[in-house]
Amino acid sequence: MTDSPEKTDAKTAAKPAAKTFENSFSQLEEVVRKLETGGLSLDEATKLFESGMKLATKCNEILSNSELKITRLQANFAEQMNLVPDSDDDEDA
Amino acid sequence: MTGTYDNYDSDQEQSGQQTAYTVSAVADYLKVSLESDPRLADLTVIGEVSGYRNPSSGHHYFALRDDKSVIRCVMFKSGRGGQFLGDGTQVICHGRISIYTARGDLQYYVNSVEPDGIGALQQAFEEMRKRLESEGLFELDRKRALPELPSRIAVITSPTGAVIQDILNVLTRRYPLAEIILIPTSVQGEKAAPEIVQAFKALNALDDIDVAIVARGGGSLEDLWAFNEEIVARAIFSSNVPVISAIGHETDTTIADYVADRRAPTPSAAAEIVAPDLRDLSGYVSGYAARIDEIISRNIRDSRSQFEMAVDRMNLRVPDTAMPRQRIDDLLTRARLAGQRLVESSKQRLATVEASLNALGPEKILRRGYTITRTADGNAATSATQFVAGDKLGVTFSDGSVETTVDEITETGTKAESN
Repeated sequence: MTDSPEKTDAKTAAKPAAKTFENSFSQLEEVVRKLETGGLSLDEATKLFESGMKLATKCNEILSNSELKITRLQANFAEQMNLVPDSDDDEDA
Repeated sequence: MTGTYDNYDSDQEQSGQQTAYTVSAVADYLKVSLESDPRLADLTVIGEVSGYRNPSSGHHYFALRDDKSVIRCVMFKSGRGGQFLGDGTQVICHGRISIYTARGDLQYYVNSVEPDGIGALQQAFEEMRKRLESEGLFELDRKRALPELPSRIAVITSPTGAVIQDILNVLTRRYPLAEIILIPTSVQGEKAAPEIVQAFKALNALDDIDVAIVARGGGSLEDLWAFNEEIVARAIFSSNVPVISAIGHETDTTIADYVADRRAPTPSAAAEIVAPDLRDLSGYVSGYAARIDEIISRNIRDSRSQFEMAVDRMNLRVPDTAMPRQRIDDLLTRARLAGQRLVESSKQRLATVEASLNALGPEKILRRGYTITRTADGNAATSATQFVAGDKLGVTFSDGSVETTVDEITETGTKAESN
C-alpha cells in the first residue's frame, strides 16, 4: 500500500504554492510583530523593514504566479490498495 | 422415454402404467410451463425483503415475503435498483418467474427494484438519522476546523460532469495555490456507496492531504441515495482530515451532510469554503506592507529628532573655557551631519525596497508609458471593435485621465484614432 504510484507522485511533486506562501506570510507577520513591539535600533528596524518588504513582494509574486495543480487518482485505486475481496460464496442462479 | 416433455402424454396413455420420469425431464417441463405463461414472464411484485445477500459476484439474493408467503428471488448484477434491497425494506420488483433447475427452486428473476414509495425511503432516512445520531456520528464536538491555507485538497466526486468543473473553476479563480487530488467515484446507482467508501480508504492512505470535499450535483431523493447509506456515513466519519460535504441542492440534506465536518449548500460553495480568496490574501499582504512602512517612517522621524536633541544637549553642557568655541562648533556640526547621513542612508534603502514592491502594481506599468482605455461605461476596453465613431472614450494615465471622442476606427491596424 505504501508504494502505490499515486502516493509516490504526491510526494515527489513540487511543494504546492500554498506552503511557500504560508511560510513567507508567517515570516511577514513575525516582522510586523517585532516592529510593533519596538525597542529596536534604527539599523535593526531598517533591516527588518527590508526583509518585511521582500517577504511582502514574494507573497504577492506567489499569489500572482500560481496555477492550480490537478492530480487524478487512478480509477483502479481500490485494487492498488490491496482491499480484501468480499468473502461471501458465489452462488449460481 | 427420451426425457423431453413432448413424450409425456403419449407415453403414459400407450403403456397404461405409471412411467418414471427423470428429474431433469420434470424440471425442464416445469420450467417451460412456467415460462410459457405470459403473466409470469412480465410480473411486478410488492413485498418485504428478507435474507438479503450480495456476494462478490455482484448478484443479489433475497426473498420477498408478506404475512403469508415467501418467494425466492435473484437479481443479477446488471439489474437496476440493488441499493434499495435490504432486510426489512418494502420494495416493488419487476421480473419473471422461472425454475432454477439445478436446485428445483422456484425463483423470481428480478430485473429492477424500486423502493415502495418515497414514504418508505423517507422513513428509512429518518430511522438511520436517529440511529447514527444516537451513536454520536453527528456530534458538534467532533467537527474539525478547516485548515486556513490548505495545500492539498482531495475532491471525491464523479470525474465527469459539472460538479468537478465548478469546483476547479472556483479554485482556479480564488485559490490557485493548492494541489487538487481528484478521487473519482460513481455518485449514483448501487456502485456509488461502495466506491465512495473505497475513495475514503484511498484518502486515508494518502499523505499530506489537508481537507476533503465530497460532492454531487442535484437530483431526486433516489439519485442522492448513496449519500444516505450507512457505509458512506461511517466512511466520512472515519476520514483522517476534515470533510466538507456538498450533496445536491441547498434544500437536500443527506446523512453525509450530518456527518461531515462542514456542510456546503452546493459544490461551488464548497470550493469557496475550503480556502480563502486570493484577493483577501493579497489585501492582508498589502496591509502588512503598509504597516511596516508606517512604523519605519515613524522610527526615522523619532531617531532624527532624538539625535538633534542630543546634539543640542551636548552644546549646552560644554563648559565655555575647555576648548576654543570654534572647535566645539565644528565637532557638533560634524556629529549632526554624521547623524543625518545615517538617517538618509536608511531612507534610501527604504526607497529601493519600496520601489521593488511597487513594481508589481499597475501604477508602475502606467508610468512606463502605457495607458488604460475605457469604454463609456468605465470598463477597460480590449478591442477597437468595441467602439464606433462618435463614442466617448476614456484614457487613464499614471497621473490622471482624459475623456475624448472617437473619430475614426481602423480595424486591421491596432489603433482607434481619437481627437
